[in-house]
Amino acid sequence: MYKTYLKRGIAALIVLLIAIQCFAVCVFAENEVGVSKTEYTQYVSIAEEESATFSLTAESDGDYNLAVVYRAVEGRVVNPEADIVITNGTDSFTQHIEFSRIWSDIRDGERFKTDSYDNEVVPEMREHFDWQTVIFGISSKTGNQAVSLKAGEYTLNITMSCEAVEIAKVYFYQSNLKSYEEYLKENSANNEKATEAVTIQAELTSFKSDSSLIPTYDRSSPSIVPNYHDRISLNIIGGSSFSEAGQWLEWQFDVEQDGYYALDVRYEQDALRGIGVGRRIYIDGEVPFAQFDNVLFPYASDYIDFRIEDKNGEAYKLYLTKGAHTLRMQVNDAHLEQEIIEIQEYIGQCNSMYRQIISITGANPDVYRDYYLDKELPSLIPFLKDSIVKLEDIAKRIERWSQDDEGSETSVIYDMVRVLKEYVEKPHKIPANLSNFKNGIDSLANMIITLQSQSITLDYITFNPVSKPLIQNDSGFFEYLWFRLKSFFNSFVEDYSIASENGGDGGQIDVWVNMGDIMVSGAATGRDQMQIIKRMCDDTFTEQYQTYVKLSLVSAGDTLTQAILADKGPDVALFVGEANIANLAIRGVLADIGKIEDFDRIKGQYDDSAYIPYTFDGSLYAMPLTQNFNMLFCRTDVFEELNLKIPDTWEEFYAVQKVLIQHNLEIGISESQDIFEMFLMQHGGSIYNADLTKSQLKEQTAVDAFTQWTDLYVKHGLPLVFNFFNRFRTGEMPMGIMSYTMYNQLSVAAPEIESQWQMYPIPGFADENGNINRIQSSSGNATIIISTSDNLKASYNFVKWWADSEIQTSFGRQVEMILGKSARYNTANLVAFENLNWTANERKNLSLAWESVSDIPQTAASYYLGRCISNAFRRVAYSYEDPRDVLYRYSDDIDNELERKRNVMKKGKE
Amino acid sequence: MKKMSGFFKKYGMSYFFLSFWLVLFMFFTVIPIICAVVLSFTDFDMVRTPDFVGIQNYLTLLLDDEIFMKSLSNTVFYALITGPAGYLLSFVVAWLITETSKGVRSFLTLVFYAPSLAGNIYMIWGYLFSGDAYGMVNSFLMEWGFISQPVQWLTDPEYNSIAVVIVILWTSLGAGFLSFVAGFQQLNKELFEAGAIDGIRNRWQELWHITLPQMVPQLLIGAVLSISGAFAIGYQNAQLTGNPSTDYSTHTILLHMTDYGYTRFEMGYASTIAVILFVLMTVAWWLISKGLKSFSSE
Repeated sequence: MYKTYLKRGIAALIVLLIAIQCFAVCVFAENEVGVSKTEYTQYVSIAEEESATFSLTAESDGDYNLAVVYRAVEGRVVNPEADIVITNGTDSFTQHIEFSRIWSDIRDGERFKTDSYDNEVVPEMREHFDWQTVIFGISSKTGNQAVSLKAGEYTLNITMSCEAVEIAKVYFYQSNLKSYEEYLKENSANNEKATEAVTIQAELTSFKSDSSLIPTYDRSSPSIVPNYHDRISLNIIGGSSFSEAGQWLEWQFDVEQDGYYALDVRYEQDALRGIGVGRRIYIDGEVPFAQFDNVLFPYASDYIDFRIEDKNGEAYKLYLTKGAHTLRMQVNDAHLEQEIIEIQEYIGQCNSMYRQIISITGANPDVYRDYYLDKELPSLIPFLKDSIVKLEDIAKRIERWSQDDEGSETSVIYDMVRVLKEYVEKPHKIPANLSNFKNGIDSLANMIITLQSQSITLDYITFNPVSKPLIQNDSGFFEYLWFRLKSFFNSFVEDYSIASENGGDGGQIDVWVNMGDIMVSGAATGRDQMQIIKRMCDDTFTEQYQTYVKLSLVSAGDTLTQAILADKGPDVALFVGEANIANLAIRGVLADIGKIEDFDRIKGQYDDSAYIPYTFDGSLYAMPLTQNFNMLFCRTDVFEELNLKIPDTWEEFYAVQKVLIQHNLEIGISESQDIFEMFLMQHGGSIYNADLTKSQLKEQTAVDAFTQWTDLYVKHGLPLVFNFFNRFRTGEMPMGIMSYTMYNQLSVAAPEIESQWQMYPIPGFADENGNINRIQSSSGNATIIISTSDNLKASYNFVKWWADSEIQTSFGRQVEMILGKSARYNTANLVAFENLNWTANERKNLSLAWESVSDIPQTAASYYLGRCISNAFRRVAYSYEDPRDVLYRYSDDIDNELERKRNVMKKGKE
Repeated sequence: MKKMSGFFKKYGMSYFFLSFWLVLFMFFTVIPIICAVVLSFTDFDMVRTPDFVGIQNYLTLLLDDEIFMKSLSNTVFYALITGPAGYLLSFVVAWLITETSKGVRSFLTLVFYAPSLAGNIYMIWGYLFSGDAYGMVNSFLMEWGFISQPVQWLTDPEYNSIAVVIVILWTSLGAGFLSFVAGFQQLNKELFEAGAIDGIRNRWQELWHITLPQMVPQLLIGAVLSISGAFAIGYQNAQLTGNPSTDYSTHTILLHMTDYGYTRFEMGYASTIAVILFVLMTVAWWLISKGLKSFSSE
């Protein structure tokens, strides 16, 4: 499977399709943005990892953007992404762009489908493969802002880094928005008076740019419409998912009378207190006048009705004719974009300066020593002085948009300025107060996340006749109290369990979903995931097998094991950890998974290593769900700066470490058992002998592995405890071996180092032929069937259905659709993995690492192995005892426990 | 017969009111204890029927279980340090804040009681004692030059007992403390006047001869709570130093019991530990109540 995949990837790399197509240049001609009605027959399709070149003409000197008419093609749910280069020989601009797809909800008539309790459920979405025109920025230095270009010929090179698109047309686009006065003049002939308002419920969109823009509910107040005390009504849309520049929502609405309307929006905005979030508003595919290019919605901690007005409090009048229209709201951060880009760039410089400082002082400088930093680093003081000027300027520019002089967003900048001023005045105090600098950088990085988040939650939108005043839809205190009281008492009679509908004669099975945190249990599972599983059951499983599925969420930990041992457990449990499964399996309460009909077909979809921890005495007692293994995370910018190569072998790893240590930089490897297992397997050793009766830790291979592991800390001085995420961001720890789920956190919560880091397969030992042995162990969780289940047949059917690549793919995609990138599913299913949203490069590295993943079998004494290894490690790392002595001692302990447990189990079986 | 009806007439109502508590006590205390005693003579893996093994579990526990001995000595160590110290601390703090005015007293009571009221808030100590070079204690000590390498406060057996004792003392002002505060409120003022006339010279004499003898019920309650608290030490250790801690350095009897009960699912052996723990607590309580009674009859 990997091989075919690898071949495909290499083939794609080698055969770079370069299509050169010339298109007639049309500036000004097409202004309509959005879903196009024209069907283009002539287009270039660019597949993932391929590129195409186009030529463009700028008719005259001026400010330009790039307009692209494209169509997404069926693929993974992720948006296609591309790197573009525009050049005319002398000037060259690069930019990373994202092509959004077009989605719509599948609705049941006017509103959403409901479940058996009349609750509206989050709708499924359908993708539309229609042509659309989108305007992009040209240079990453200016973001989406227009760039000034000289007249002449340019070439555009588009390289798809993720997914494929079909492009029908590209051209330079020059914005020529009319002013409001011009707009009024154009429509001055019309003087009909509108009397009826048109209200759009914001959750009922017609199209949207992103599958994560799902309608949700807020049941806190009766003034959020529609709302009922006894059932869920999806009444709002937006929030944090509607915050990235470029995302849009579109509504269709019918107007009854010609006339002038004011645009009223009911919303909540708690993202940007002092500044307000921006939206570009299109009516019928066109921004009506310049003021609608970026409408700012001020802070509102609770829902308010807001009329879009000019500075004098006069509503902007929109002339609408009778008939159907469209309204589109697009996230626009133009008012802050330039500042965000500059801060981002500045953080990069700061981090680099910070690394230069600690390369002299170390991360924990001696407070009583003067390091003469101003002389050692001649560029330091000028940099700090420049920074002060630059930061103050950025703060001032952000405050332009500040509505109430609170400016809380910029306080972080002023804190940093204060720190820097002190540094400039007293350079000898820099080492002692270095942590202030680091904290300042952290705060600036977090500030970017705040500024970028242009989130707003919409309740409804009204086109009100201009003559009508804006009415605040506030529920009175008593109405509010009554509503909350009704909801409160209703909560006693509401049925919270989630059962699938449309069952049949196949009976019912109880399925428990173990709640888990990705950092703790290696799988993120919660209410959202359960809702998705439920919907998938409704859609396919119940229909196919005529079986009801009753899902419940249980807290992680011992609940499940205890319930099962007390015979109060479910029929099937999902996301169960390895240790729990071992405990249950050796007590004979789990059903043999190998008896699933058609098991061989499903078996091949998983890596052989995934079955190891669930196999006891030759039988398989659980179906793998997730599989985690370690990857080498590297800060590519730091590596470039220090001229280092990504290590493939341990020799190279130590060479890199030598250089890093000279610059006082650290490497993060956690002191956990999987690192020992990795070294052990790479040295060719194993924990147990073949029949799992004795440990093999007295072998020379084990001693070598153990010594290499402890030497990392004892000899090479790696830190024992650290927060990898934070230190990786500052670059203080530019390399680390971490579970690949760290990717989720880094990709979402560390935007300032975006594209400055990569994950690679972990290092290994090279043999004579240059093959590198990168073997490592893995961990994960799985699905189990309880052998005492009343409905064993249905349970087997459920697992057969659930473990299949199609369902696993769909689950992974839907989770990411709704919860975003941070919830990317670390599936154990190899086929599903290929279909998740990894970019080609990430997938290549992960597959390469996955190929050499193996695992350690679980035994009745596995818990004991874990504590012995950690005790042995700590004896060496804390008290510097001799690794061999320590390992021998604990090896005996493990043997005794294995023996004891085996006797206990044997007695139980008699 | 007549005697019986007379009995019911006289005491029936009392037994009726007592019955609710009695039923709960039976179901949640007496029966579980009996179950534990029965199970302690068996080998029980929670699935198969318990297998009677006689006193094998007791023999293994008392003669062949190093970890139990370690946890016993740890428990006694914690009990000796934190029991009396926590008890004294509760008493002294209660005595001191009795002197303040009512509003201040309520406020201070809340402040001192808050740590044990707020559940898992001692987890904040995990953050303070973090082994990271950027952990609060470590970074402070490194900044002032006391140490040059981060110390693993919670996982290094040399230090983790210190951390645990500090945290336990911090949370020791619990229900016993409240009963002391209440006890100080209801002292008979006449006795103090009489004492002053009879020649009490200072506050120490007043405390020793007048206050303490009046407080015996509260002292007894405080002692019982303090002992059961000291023997039940374990959850804090597990949360802070990991379960099990490095080389069982902060392992207590309670943790040993949960280790066998919930990690290894060997319920028979876990019950044996529970029975031993029960016996130890009963003996300690008997000793202390005897000591306090002799003090009150003095």
